[in-house]
Amino acid sequence: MNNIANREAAEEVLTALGEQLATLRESYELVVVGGSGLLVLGAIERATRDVDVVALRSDAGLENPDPLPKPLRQARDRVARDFSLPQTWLNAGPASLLDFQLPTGFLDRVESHSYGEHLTVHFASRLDQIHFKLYAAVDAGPGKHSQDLEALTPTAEELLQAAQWTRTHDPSPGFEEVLRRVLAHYGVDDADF
Amino acid sequence: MGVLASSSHRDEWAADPEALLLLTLEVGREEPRLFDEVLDWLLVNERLVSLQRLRNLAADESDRALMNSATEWLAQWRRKSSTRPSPKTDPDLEAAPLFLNEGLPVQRPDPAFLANGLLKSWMEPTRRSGHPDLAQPVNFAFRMRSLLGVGARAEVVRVLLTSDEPGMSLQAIAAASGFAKRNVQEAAASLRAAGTVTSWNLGNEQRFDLPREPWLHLLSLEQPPTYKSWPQLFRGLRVLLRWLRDPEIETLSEYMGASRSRTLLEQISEDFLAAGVSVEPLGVTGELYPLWFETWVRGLGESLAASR
Repeated sequence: MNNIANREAAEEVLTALGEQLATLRESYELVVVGGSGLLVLGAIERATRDVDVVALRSDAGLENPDPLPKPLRQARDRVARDFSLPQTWLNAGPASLLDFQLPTGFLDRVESHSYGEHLTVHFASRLDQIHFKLYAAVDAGPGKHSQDLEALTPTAEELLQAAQWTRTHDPSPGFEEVLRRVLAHYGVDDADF
Repeated sequence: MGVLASSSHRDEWAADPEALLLLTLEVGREEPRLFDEVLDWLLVNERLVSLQRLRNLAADESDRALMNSATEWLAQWRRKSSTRPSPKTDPDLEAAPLFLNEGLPVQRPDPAFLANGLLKSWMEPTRRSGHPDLAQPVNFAFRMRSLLGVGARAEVVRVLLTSDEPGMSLQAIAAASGFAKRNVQEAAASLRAAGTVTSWNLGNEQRFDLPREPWLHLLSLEQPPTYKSWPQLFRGLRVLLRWLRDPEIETLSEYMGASRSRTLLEQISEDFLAAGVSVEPLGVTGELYPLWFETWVRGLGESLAASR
């Protein structure tokens, strides 16, 4: 396994991560966005290379996951070794999303899965994934993000809501120009930011 | 080697006494009679054994508990001891049975073992063990010690004479001899000063050779006994043995069992590779891994038995 091929594979590696954490007697709640979350939620079927952690959840709220705590890295590395995955299969790449706040109501919409007693993963909801995928599609251009966005079949209302959130992350005129083109592609021509 | 047991086998290799003692004490936890015979042998042949080397080769807490128990037991029974010191026992120390498959409770714990957290019934040595036959290749280390004394010098000569590796570095000799690099350096320097060992430089590193012919002539040998990296092989085997005995392994999921075995192999692979044992599961991943591991362990056991 050099990537996470499907939903079963995603569940398998996260279960393995939960077991590794159990042997280390460490517990974590991960807030996950991106392709792996879409796989688990059944929104896409493409393979993904990694599980993107946007935050760690605790009683105190959401915490920046970067760098991942040492026990979590240790458990991650063992899973990487056991499943022949790259060491970065679990990463804090999207941590910067926390800097400008997540979409309003994000935590109320997450879909939470337990992988044993030591690991809970809160997957971003479909609506929030539309927010992140729209932002990524505008930022990175055509590619896997725009394909994922297509797969999520967003409504015009959802796209407008997501577009307003993306503007809080990048208010530049250049971003707005590309954003309008992407929205137009989905039939949303009269966006008012 | 002198342990009270019948054997018609004649090994062509030179044993490493302290490495073998550490392994036998561990294996003996499932063979009480073997364990007691080894203690008896140790008492009879103590003058040929290096307690310093025993300490140096003990790799972890489990090794040290067994090694300290054995040496403290030895101290209890030395003939020359006018008063036998009784090892002090930490009252907070939780003791576990030494013998793993003995169902009977320990009535009279031996203080030497109790002081190291191990419960073993009191045993009086029979002193019926024999002395090693120094003419046998397997006892070559004892022969060197009889000639050069128990210490680094005898080990340096044993390693240089039996190893096929030309120009060994101090580090390699230290790893094979079970003495610290500083001790090996001193021993090698005195042997060189006596003209019995040669040295040369490879870059910044000093390399050592031993002229075989004069040594073989002195020892009336046609060829030296076979060298094996016993300290490394036996250290790896002890770790593997303890892992296999760990009851927690049976409670793990299939994945965690496989993952733990991978971690174990990472831990022992360097030692096994140094001893010429391959541990690389080439291309074996996922669900095939547990089967590969089981086959590897069985194969290792069979190859060790066949090489006797």
